Amino acid sequence: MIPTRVVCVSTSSPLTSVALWRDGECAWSHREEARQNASQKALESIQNGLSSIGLSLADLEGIVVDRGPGSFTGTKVGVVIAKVLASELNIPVAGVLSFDLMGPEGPWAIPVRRGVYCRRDAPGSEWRLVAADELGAARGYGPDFPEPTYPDAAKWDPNRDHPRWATWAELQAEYVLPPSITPPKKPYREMA
Amino acid sequence: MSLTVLGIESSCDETSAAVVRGHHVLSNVVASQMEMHQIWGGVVPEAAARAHVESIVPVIHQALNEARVRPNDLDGIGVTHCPGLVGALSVGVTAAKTLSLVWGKPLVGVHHLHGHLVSPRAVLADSSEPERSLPFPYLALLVSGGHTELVEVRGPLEFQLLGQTIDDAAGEAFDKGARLLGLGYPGGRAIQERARTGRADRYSLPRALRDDPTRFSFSGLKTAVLRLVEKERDRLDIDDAAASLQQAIVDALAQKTLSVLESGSYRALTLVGGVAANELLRETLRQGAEQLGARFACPPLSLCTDNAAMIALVAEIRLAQGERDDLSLDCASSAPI
Repeated sequence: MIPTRVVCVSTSSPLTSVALWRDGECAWSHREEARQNASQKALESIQNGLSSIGLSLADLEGIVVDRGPGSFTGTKVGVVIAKVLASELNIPVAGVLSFDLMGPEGPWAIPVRRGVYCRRDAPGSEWRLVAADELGAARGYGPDFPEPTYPDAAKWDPNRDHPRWATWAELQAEYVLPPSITPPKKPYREMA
Repeated sequence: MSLTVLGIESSCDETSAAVVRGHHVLSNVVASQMEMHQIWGGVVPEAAARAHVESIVPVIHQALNEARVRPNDLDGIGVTHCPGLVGALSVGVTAAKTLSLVWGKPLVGVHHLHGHLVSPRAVLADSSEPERSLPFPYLALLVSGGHTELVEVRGPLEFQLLGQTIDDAAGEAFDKGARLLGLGYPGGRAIQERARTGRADRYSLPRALRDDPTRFSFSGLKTAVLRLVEKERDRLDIDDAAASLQQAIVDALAQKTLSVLESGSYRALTLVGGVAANELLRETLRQGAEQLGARFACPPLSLCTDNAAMIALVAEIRLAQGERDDLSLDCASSAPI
């Protein structure tokens, strides 16, 4: 069965956004700034949105989630919400990249750390790490974007993005960097 | 009235879920990341958080299955929300909030250290002697990789901080000492094993702040071990060094704890937290407490290291008192007891 009542959640950026889709149309959406409390904002939005279009959690047939790239903790919040909802409601989940929620026209860029961005040129292509001076005409957010474009759940396009439905266990976040750590030096004694 | 509560814990490097009913532990599932962090010689926060994301749902499912409890049977959910690594905490807290919403069950946030402090009161399936009857107020020594606290327990959830470390935690002293001696991570177990055949009086190591029972300090001890390793080089006897280090840590903890136990005329002492696994510390405190006529209690190892059963236990007490948290429950890296 192809899910027709779908919630789309994005928490990978400073703007948390939730959209509810019914029969291929966006029936409700909401965006809100949430720097520390993305889980609260996202869950409240899901609750409010469902009740305003006369549905409940049990009516959901699928979850689409922004699995990154984006902020470390924010991205995990969305992925955990999606995993738990999918497992407890017994419905499939489809992970999309944050670029997929930033409008149909690339290139797009997402901040990684000071002066470094994650850039994707076109839908479906691989992303790569670039310096701030290689942003070109990219749309995105971060200190180098006076007019930011954030991932927006309402910009998910079921016809363009062809969700790959999977189980909660298969959903994985898209992490940009490995944990920024260096392997330990040899124990002091062996160095001596 | 006994409640059935799901506990969730993800404050550091263990993903854990447990079901508790009336202080009885029905299940206590812990997915440890220890092997992963061993290659780095310590817990890497971002790696810990990522591992929690992978294991949180399966661990919760297993806890419910082992307890033979369905979500509908639950009276609520308790989750560690402070103190700890924020990225790690937020995984458990987000999962708990989402479950609370889907299942329609109340949620309470639990202070991780409250969990450790109530852990002696948990009743395990195979334990014949529950410690629920500990007389208030009693003294608790909480020692782990991140904490060294001496606490007066005045009631089921009433705590007064009496003393704490001014630098490293006791478990950190074991870990850092073990690393300097080339014994790997985690250090407590390695030190204890090597110390068995070592002479504790071989090397002289400091016991800091001897006259101040309310402050612990272990950073000087770490430096002393470093100096020892530098001085002795290949002549260093690792077994003797491990035994000397263990003795120095245990002496510092026991001397202060027993002096507070005596001056406060407490009738019981509990030892909680991961470092309670150290046999020398347990025996030293047990003998010291008994000499002072006080009862000594230490939970089994599965409740000493980080676990969700102790979190569910605190949540059960708080839910029974009618306390609730909502979706605005926040994570914090530090929080007073």
